[in-house]
Amino acid sequence: MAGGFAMFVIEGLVVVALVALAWVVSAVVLAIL
Amino acid sequence: MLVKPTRKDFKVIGYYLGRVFLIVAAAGSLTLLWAALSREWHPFGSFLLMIGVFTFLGVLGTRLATRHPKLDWSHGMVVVALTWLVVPLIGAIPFLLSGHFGTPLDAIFDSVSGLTTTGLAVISDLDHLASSLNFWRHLLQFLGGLGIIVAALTVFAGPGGITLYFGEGRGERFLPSVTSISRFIWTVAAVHLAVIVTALTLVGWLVLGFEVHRAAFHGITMFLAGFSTGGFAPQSTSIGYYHSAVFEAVAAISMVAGVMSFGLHHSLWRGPRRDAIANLETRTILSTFGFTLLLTLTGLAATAAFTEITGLTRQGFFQIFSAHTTTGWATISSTELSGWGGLAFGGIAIAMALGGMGSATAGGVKALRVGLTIKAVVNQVKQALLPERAVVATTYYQSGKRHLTHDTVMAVMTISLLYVALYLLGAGVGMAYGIPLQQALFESVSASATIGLSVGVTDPSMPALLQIVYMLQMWAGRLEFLALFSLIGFVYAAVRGK
Repeated sequence: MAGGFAMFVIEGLVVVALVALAWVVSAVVLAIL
Repeated sequence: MLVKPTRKDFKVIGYYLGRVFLIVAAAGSLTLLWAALSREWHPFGSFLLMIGVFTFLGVLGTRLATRHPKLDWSHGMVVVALTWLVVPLIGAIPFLLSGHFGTPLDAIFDSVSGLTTTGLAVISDLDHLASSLNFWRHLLQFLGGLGIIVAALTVFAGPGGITLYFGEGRGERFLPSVTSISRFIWTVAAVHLAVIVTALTLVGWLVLGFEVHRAAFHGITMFLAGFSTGGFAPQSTSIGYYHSAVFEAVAAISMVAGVMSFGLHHSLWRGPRRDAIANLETRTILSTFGFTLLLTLTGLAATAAFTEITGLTRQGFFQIFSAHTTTGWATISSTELSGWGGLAFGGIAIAMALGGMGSATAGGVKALRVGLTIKAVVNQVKQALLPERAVVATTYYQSGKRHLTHDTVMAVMTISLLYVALYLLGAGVGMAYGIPLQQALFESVSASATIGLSVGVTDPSMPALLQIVYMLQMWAGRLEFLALFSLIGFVYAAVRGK
């Protein structure tokens, strides 16, 4: 179960990183267009 | 010369099919429990009938042969293909008796869509479906995502069991025995089930204000659909029903877990963790995600559909993430999605076509093949630019350093071309019914790559032939053709062989 929670945290961090990427891309394209 | 299958071949196939049906009957029994607890007696009766048919066929099959007869490659492929053909037919019985489907074909369509983890649906009035039937829709996705055969192999392997494992669209052998692989897959699923269902239930209860049992229902069903990258949802408005960024974030975690190959899960759990980042497949899917995200967000920004960063990020990210993981949940309606023109539409279509990872719960071309195709093209360009006698050796990292051989390239190109042909088949039939090219291609890719996003083509009024073509696409797409061709070859040999 502890391993599962650790995986949940890792997978959560992946989601956070990808959302952050989307946020930056959105900011850039909105600024340019 | 084709060799006609003997009576013994049929007995071996029947025996293993029987074993698989008994496992499905056991898994399906969970629906009885759910229906009884919910006091839904009409669905209870239909589940009883379905389980009875699975059990009857299972017992019949297992009596055809002695314990664990040897299973060769062609037997295994035929067992897998028939399993994926017959299970959705019998699994459609509760849907057929529910009164929520106009025709038997509609019920079978949703059953095939569920088992292949696609997520396209033609059900009517989903919002008033009995909770046990809704649970069965999602359980079908979970069984299909992890693999019915994998479920069966956990209980029995027998000689030649690895054939069944490969036949179900899996090419990765990260543990020595097929039993250990199957058990690892189920351990990963069980642990994620415990953690993510708890998280989704807490969000439903504490953030959305649902009653606990209702929050648990949504937590369980959404996990089963998310982890299998299936894309069914208990409500007709998909994940948009919750109107909650927090719920979407936790659901996205289930999609991350679902899209990861089980080899990657194994690297993260038991090492070497370096593989998780170094593998070509991981790098490819991250790159294609970034590329399609850029296309889509640029397209949406250009049409002025979104003028604020928050709205653009949330809608653009979720749709692309759902498409690229081959899940198919949407925070917007199919009408809104069909209104995404130009770059945005292209971006999401490419994300669907190239998404998913191998040996996971996903369908479609899958990232490793995309990565290897790019490597092969670069290799060809290098070869053309260098002197004639120069030899270009290309390597890649995928759980160890490997050489890109001619055989690997041929295998990758063949399967990739078959997927392109499959995409075009559904688009062609759709266009024959007067559906515009853009919509026809989108829906066809969605069915073939087992995504489930829809621009409105899939609905209860769609033509029966188009439904059948989409079912064929989902089936072939999920099994990656090999089992399908083996079944065709087996039937041909039975008719024309000597």
